[in-house]
Amino acid sequence: MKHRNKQLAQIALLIAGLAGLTLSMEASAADTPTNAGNIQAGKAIAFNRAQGNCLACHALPGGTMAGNVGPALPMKGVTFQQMFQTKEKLVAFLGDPEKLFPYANMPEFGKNKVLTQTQLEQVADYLWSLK
Amino acid sequence: MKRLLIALSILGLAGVSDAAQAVNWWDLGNTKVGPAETLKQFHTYFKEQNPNMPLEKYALGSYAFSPEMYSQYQEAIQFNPGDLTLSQGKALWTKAFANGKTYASCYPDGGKGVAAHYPMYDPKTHDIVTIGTSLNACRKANGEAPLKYGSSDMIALQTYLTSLSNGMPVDVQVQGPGATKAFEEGKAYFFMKRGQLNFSCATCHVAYAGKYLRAQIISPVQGQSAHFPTYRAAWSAVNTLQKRMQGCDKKVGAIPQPLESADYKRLEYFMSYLSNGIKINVPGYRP
Ligand code: HEC
Ligand code: HEC
Repeated sequence: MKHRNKQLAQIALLIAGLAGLTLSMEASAADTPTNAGNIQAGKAIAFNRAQGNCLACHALPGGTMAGNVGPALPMKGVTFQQMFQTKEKLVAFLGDPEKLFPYANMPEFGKNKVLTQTQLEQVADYLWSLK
Repeated sequence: MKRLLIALSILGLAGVSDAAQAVNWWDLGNTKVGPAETLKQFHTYFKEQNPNMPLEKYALGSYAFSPEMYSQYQEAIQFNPGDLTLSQGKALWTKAFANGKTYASCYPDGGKGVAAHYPMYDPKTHDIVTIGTSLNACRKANGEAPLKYGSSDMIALQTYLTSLSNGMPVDVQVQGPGATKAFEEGKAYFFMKRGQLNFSCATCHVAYAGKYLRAQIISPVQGQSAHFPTYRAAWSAVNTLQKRMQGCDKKVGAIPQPLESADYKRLEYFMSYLSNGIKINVPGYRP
């Protein structure tokens, strides 16, 4: 039932037209085993000024001199799991935020080739691990 | 059941789209409303953002948002290193050309209060004249070779001439279709997203003015032009508004435009108009 609900929720999202994100058949993020190594790599990318530099705009646990242009992450009262349902969607969001939220003033890390697909997946693994 | 879930998932995302909806700053980028209405809209927007901040305080840029930084600033300007550039500019300004005339001969009142009205639109050339290009036009009229934009002599002269309007409110005019077109082109540049980060000037200096980008507080566009040329600790030198445009363009991974290019002149025209009413204070001081 739980699984069924999740499926329904996904369908609902699509119907609501809010998903806008391709439920990509590649689904590469799902194939990558999430391990401590990925999480660590993702965190390093998120903190690195020359890579993700997420700290420029978001507070993240353990990060110093964080900006507040974007919301502190993880957002209060919402887990990444609740917000994005699947890790693929989080990866897609990071790759092209405007596709999901037309006004999101966040760099398009994938579309504009700031980060590679692998790096995006590592960042997503890292975020996914935050509680 | 399905219905309920739809409702729930919309609710789940509502927190996010709410934030997006508050961002009506985007409407300020409408290039059809004309200069007077634009200025009114910006004043209203910033008043909503910072209800207790009077217009003149925008001259302080990011210092207006942090009392600690502001007191550091007050200490720093006791001995503004930029004053050195100012005196270099004064020396150049008073030195005679080969024909015996000086820069002062090119401007009304010997240059006093002139910079407050710059940049201006020249209906003859259909172009924007900035303090920088006016200085080279003056040289040309007196048989001198132009100075390179960004050279230390040019910056010093820009600094000195602008300082002759210190204490006067910025008073840039946009009148007639040609001027309005140039103004709206500047506005378009300001609102156009660009670079690897896909940011516009407005994203940072309108939508997120007053917020932290890492450790830096982002200044509102309103008031920015009034203290340029400015000394900047990061430059260890005085430099111009257009130099800062290049820096911010680079920061988002965009290709910066050349100094005094059509794009930057129009952008400066637009930004300076938004500072109308705010007092000139040159050379400024920034971290
Ligand atoms: C220059 C600013 C900036 C940078 C850099 C940035 N973000 Fe964001 N981010 C934002 C803003 C602004 C929002 C809010 C979007 C909205 O609500 O319109 C946001 C939203 C988010 C959200 C969803 C929460 C929400 O409110 O939509 C996540 C997740 C996120 N960012 C992760 C990241 C990660 C991971 C990085 C680095 C790889 C990053 N961001 C880099 C500005 C930025
Ligand atoms: C990613 C965010 C970002 C973008 C995009 C951006 N800026 Fe900036 N800008 C900053 C930050 C941060 C500073 C330093 C703090 C401050 O505002 O003084 C700054 C400083 C400035 C200053 C100096 C302000 C002062 O008081 O001395 C000017 C002028 C300026 N920017 C103009 C522009 C223009 C014009 C554009 C577009 C071509 C632009 N910026 C794009 C973040 C940005």
